[in-house]
Amino acid sequence: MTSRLSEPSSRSGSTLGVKPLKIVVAGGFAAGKTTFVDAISEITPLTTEAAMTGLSIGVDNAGDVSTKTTTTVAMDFGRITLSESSMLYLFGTPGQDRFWFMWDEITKGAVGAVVLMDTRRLDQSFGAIDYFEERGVPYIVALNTFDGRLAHDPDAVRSALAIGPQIPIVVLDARDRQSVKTALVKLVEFAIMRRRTA
Amino acid sequence: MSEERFVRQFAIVGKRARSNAADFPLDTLVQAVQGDLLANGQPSSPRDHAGLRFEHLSLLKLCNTPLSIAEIGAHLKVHLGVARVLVGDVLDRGLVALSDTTTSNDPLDVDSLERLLDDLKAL
Repeated sequence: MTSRLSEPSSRSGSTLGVKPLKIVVAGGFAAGKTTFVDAISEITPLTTEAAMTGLSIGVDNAGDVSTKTTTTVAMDFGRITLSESSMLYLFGTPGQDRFWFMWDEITKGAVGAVVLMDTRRLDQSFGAIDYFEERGVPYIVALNTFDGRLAHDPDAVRSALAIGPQIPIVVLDARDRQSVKTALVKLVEFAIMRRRTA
Repeated sequence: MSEERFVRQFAIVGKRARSNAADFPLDTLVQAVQGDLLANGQPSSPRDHAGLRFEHLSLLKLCNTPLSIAEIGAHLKVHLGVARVLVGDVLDRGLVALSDTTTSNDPLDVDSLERLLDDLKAL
């Protein structure tokens, strides 16, 4: 690579008039995150990758620090063009909880999060709920109906996961666009309420 | 990711682990400044393009319309960190403009949220 141009370009520093917004779609393995994103995205969900260095792996896997490998964290995401001046991105969290550094990256500056749940695997959602609670990120819980049914109703989920009474819980079919849209509307309404009362 | 692919990506960015773009949020939008010329494969100015790699030119072609850094990484099949370095390179040369990144880590104000709500309802 040659050295950078020393004189400042007259064009640099210009800023685009379009603003990105993002919403995080979290949930355990196979909770339906990519299905949810795909239902409303105008593009087929894409996958972005980030590398975790061998050093970070060592922290995670103390018995095997000498292994010099690269772990790749993959995240699926989609996009909705809302207007000429705003673009909404939906980022799915990496499936495994140990990739918290990527969660930080996608949560920074986000509107809020949808925690998607398969009610047959409630235990997989503890990590996501704790994460957003601790950081004060507005979130809603969305129970994904598999085969049109829920293993637990919203009240049972709320008490099992100790979800506060103010957090909205919606029931949806992650394959259905309208259902997904309703959940996103609910999240933004909740984020507005939180901002107003903050 | 294979070791080979990782090494190749490392080579693209010339062993630079960081760049001025290192902290850009992954949803930062990037658009080529002279997209119409670049779409024909014609450099806007030979000086601006000296030392650019194939990946930079691919990036400029992709960014005829605004694309996020995450999308650039996905389309070029490179890691996010590599995509950031590539964006930093073309930004240094004034070949791209970015969405405002100064406020993007702050929580949104109520007005922006309400606009978002209206836009979502209108979908």
